[in-house]
Order: sequence, then C-alpha cells, then structure tokens
Amino acid sequence: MTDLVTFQERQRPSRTTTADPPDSPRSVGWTHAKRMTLATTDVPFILDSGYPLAPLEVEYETYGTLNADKSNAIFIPHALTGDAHIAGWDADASETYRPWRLRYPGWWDAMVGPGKPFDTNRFFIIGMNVAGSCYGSTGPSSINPATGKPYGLDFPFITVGDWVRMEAMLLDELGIDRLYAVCGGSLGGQQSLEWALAYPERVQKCIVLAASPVLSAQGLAFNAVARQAIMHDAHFNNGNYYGGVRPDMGLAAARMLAHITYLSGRGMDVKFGRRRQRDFYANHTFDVEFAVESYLEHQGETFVERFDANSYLYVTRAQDYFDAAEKWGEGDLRKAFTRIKSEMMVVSFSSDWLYPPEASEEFVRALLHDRIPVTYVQLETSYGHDAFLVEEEAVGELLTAFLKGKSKLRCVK
Amino acid sequence: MEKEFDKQDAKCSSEQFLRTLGVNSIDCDFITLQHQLERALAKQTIDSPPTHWEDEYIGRLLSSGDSVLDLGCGNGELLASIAELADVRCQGVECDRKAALTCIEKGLPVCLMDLDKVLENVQPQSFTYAVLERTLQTLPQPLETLKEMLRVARYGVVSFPNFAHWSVRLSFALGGRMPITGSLPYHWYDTPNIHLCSINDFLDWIAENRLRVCQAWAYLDDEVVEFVAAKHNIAAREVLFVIESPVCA
Repeated sequence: MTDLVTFQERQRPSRTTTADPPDSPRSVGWTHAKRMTLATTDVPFILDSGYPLAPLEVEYETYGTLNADKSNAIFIPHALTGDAHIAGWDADASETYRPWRLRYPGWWDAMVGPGKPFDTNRFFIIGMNVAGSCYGSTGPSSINPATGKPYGLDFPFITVGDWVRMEAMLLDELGIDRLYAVCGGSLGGQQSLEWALAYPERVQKCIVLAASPVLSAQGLAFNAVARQAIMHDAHFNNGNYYGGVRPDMGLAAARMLAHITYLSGRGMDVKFGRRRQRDFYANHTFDVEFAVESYLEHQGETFVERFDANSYLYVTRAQDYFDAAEKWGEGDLRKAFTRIKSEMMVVSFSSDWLYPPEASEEFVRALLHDRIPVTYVQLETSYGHDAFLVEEEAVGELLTAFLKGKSKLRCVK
Repeated sequence: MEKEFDKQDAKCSSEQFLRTLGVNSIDCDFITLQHQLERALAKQTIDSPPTHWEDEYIGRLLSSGDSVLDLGCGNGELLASIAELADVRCQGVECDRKAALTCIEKGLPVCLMDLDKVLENVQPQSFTYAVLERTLQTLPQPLETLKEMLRVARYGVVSFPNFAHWSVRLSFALGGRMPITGSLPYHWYDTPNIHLCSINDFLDWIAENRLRVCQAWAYLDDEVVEFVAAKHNIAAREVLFVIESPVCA
C-alpha cells in the first residue's frame, strides 16, 4: 500500500505535494461554482448539428477582478475531462458532493492564482464547463424536457464550435467583449484555436498548448476503443443507466487506455519500468502485479468516481470531429488561418504522441505561410501529453513571458 | 632610391613565393599590414564594434508596410527596435531557449526552431527583408541559407566578422595561434564559427551567383563607412550587406 502512495505522488508531483492550501497567499482560496442559463425553450441554442438545445445551462467560475475597461479577461477552456474549477478549493465540496475536490484544488491551480503565471492580481480568469460534460453544464445526465428523464444517448451531438459559441455567449452575459487571452491545452487548446478562428476580433492573444488543428488517425483510434469499452460494459444499457448500476468497468478501461496516451513510453519506463507491486517474482495471476498496472487501475478507479460514461462518449466525439481546416478553410488549413488576427503562441512537448510536435509544426507552418506572426516553442520532456500540466515551471515561464509581452506588433497583411 | 627598389623586389619575390604555395589572390603586402598596425598603435585604443551596431542601419532601411524575418534573432534587440516603427511585420527565429524567452517577454513573435526548418516553410517573397546578423559563419550550409533568404524575402541582410581584418591576420601570422579578436572572441575549441569568410570571399560568391549588393556598411577600426570595397578587406572588422537577386528585382 505504501508503494502505491509513493508513486501516486510521483505521478502528480505538484498537485499532491505542492498544492497551495486555501489560506496560502498564492491560492485563489475557497471558490463557488456559478451557473448561467444560455438558452431556454423560448430561445433554444441551435447546435452545429441543427438540434435546438434547451434549456442550456453552464457552470462557470471566475477568479480575480474584471478591471474598469474590461481589458484583463482571460478565458481558460478545459481539456477532455476537465471542469470550470480551474483553481482554488471548492467550498461546496463534501463527502457526498464532488468529494474528490476535498483532496485537491482546481486542475490548473499551479498556473492560476496571485503571483502565478495567470496572476489573479492582474487578470480576470474565467473557466466554463463544456456542454455534454458532467460538471454542472447541460449534458447527457441532464433532464431531457421532452421525456422528463435524463437524456442519455438522446443528448444531441455537440462540437468544439458549439462550445466556443457558448463560451462567447457567457462572456456576452458577463459584459466582456474582448479577451486579453485565451489559453488551453489539449482539447482546451483546440478550443483556443477555435476562438481565434471564430472570433478573431475578440481575442488578443491565443495560446495553444499540446494541441493541433485535428486529432490524428491514431488519436481517433484510441477514442474509438475507449467508447467501445464503455458501450460494451454489461451495465451500459444503451446509455440508460442513471439511477442504476453504472458502466464503471467500461469507463475505467477507457480511462486506463487514455492514460497510456497521456504518458510517453520512456516516461513509463522511468516511472514504473517492470517494477512489481509486492513480490519480486511472477505470481501467475491476472491480478495487478506490475506497478504500471496498479497505476492504471488507480487512474480508472478514481475516474469513475468523478465522470459520467455518456459524457465521455460525447466529449471524445467532439474531439474527433474538430477539424479547423474543414470548418474554416474548406479543408485547407492555410486558408482557414487567414482569418486569424490574434497573437499566436503554440507550445508542443517533445514526447507527446497524442498531439505530437510534428502536428504542432504543421500548425506553425500554416501560420508562417499566411504571414501571421507566431511564437512557437517545443519543450523537451519525458512526460508525454501530460507535460502541459506537469511541466509547470517551463510552461509557467512561457505563459508569464507571453502574457507580459506588450504586443506592439500587429499582423500586417 | 636603391633601397626602394629592394623593397619592391622583396615584395615581388614574396608574391611569387606565395603563388607557388597556391595563394592566388593577394590583396595586401607587409607594408600595408604594418601601416594598419601603426595607425592602431598611434590611436592607442582599438574599439571592438558594439554588438548590434548594424541595427541602426537596418532600421534606416525600413518603411511602413515592410516585413522582417530575423534569423537568429537572439534576445530580439533588432526586432524590438523595429517594433517601435509602426506597421512593420516581424518574425524572429532563434534556437536558444533562453534568448527566445526574452523575445517572448518583449512581445516579439519568435519560433524556437532551427532556422533552415523555418525557411523551408515560408512562401516565396513573404518578407521584405530576411536578416542574418553575425550568424552566417555559424551555419552548416551558409550558401544554401543565403539562397533561401533571397527566396523568401526581397532583400537579404547579412552581417559577419571579416576574417581578413588586419588584426586577425597579424594575430595568426605573428601570434601563431587561432586568432582571438574583439569580433572573434572564441577559442578554437569553443567557437561556433565554422564557416568564417572575408569580404572578398563573400563578394566572390555574390559575383559567381550574379547577385547584387544594394547597400553595404563596413565597420572599420573606428568608424562606419557606407560602402564596402576590396580595400576594406584588410581594414574592416565587420561588414553589413544588403543583397538581392536580380531575378526577383
């Protein structure tokens, strides 16, 4: 058991060992989630699929203070299974309500807070849970007004474009016309890019971490297997499992698979190698014997506690469908990028094989082709895709520098 | 009169000897070299060119609507001074992480990438100027890079230390060790300079490739002159050239 704790700590060096407690001067402290209704049955939200979604409610959080001329707002979109709780400690969490939030702060607490790269003394930070997810925004576990029961698989398909339109609506409601910056990693990075494409006038600085304009075939394949695991769980029941036994085995398997893609081969060798959990010899069982098995099992177990299987299907599908070139450039990324007016920063991570540096460089190539000034950095790391969260010092340094830059340079066509 | 004749004779025979060694382009004699040294001795001080002396002259080239690709932009000194000018589009490229970070802090767009990798992705004539300050001599394929610069930009702007400056010649000829001067401050084992050249070497290449020098500046021992001629091959510490390809002109 001791062993298990040791390498869990190693897996999350910051979040368990150096997380700032709520009373720390570097923490945003106790937080409360907020809700906003973006659409009602009178005025539904028309999704990209044409489906009129209503009602549409989103959960969001804000930190820091919006300045008088509303020029210090930064939106931070979350990744696949993230939420609006970016920083600080959820004051409303309890043993029965989001208990995992009692154990650790918001998902990017290392970056958001007083004196941190997203300095809440300077900036007004906004996070929003995406629709289709399961952290307070309308999703498959919400009540379908047509049936009075949870949507389940009747929930409409949703896209990254839908999310960004919803985020823009939320900002409208908050009276924010223009963002100083939008910054996200992974699926959050794809939302950042979508922001720069959909609302070029509303984004001054756009930061895309560990993300590219499309998910690779390999990424699509992993998502397909993850969904199969969920849908073949004995308790899946075509998505109608609310109030009954949940398809935990399938969801856990999906998460285990995903975690393999978040690490790198070398990173796994360094962290776990062929180390065994208890004994130094083969036990001839199919139980968890190797350290890496134990790690994945743990990731699966903690994930089912906090995530909904149907939501996993919907958000991975949104990730699959995202294609900036298809949406904005008739298949030509270079054509799509001519829309961009923001200052761009693209950051890739050397051992990331989900959104590999080569994919980010393609991104940069298209920007260079379009004569759009771009900042591009590839960070050396063995942490794989997870690096955008784990490499706090290197990422923090870049974010601080890019946010500080006075940005005198404008794009001249 | 007789003494003068002797000198001339000595010069002739030394030139002849050098030619037998395969040295075919002789651009000075010992007397010229000695004059340079005496001039410097009389002045007591020999100033190294200040870093980025070129920036002022590059800045003068620019006008509104121009665009600059700075290859090996370092801490962004040139781009930062350009950024003061309105309506100039800039893009930096730097392979040193710390230097790139300084650029980002200054609000300058910079790619932390190999400059050849960036060049190959830029469309023809995407910039007005492609700048290569004091970097030419460190490149694995300097001529390929120069050609690429003239592909992506209307003008190539290149500066480099002149390896034929008298101090380099004397440092090696009389010092007997790999020359270390203000413009070439490295030891043989830690120098990034793998492809050093002189003004005449560079001008030869320009002529061979039918390129044109539009403007040039030479940093002599104590002044900057606004042209570069063969006689500067011994007198110039550093040079700055603006070149173009007549194909694009």
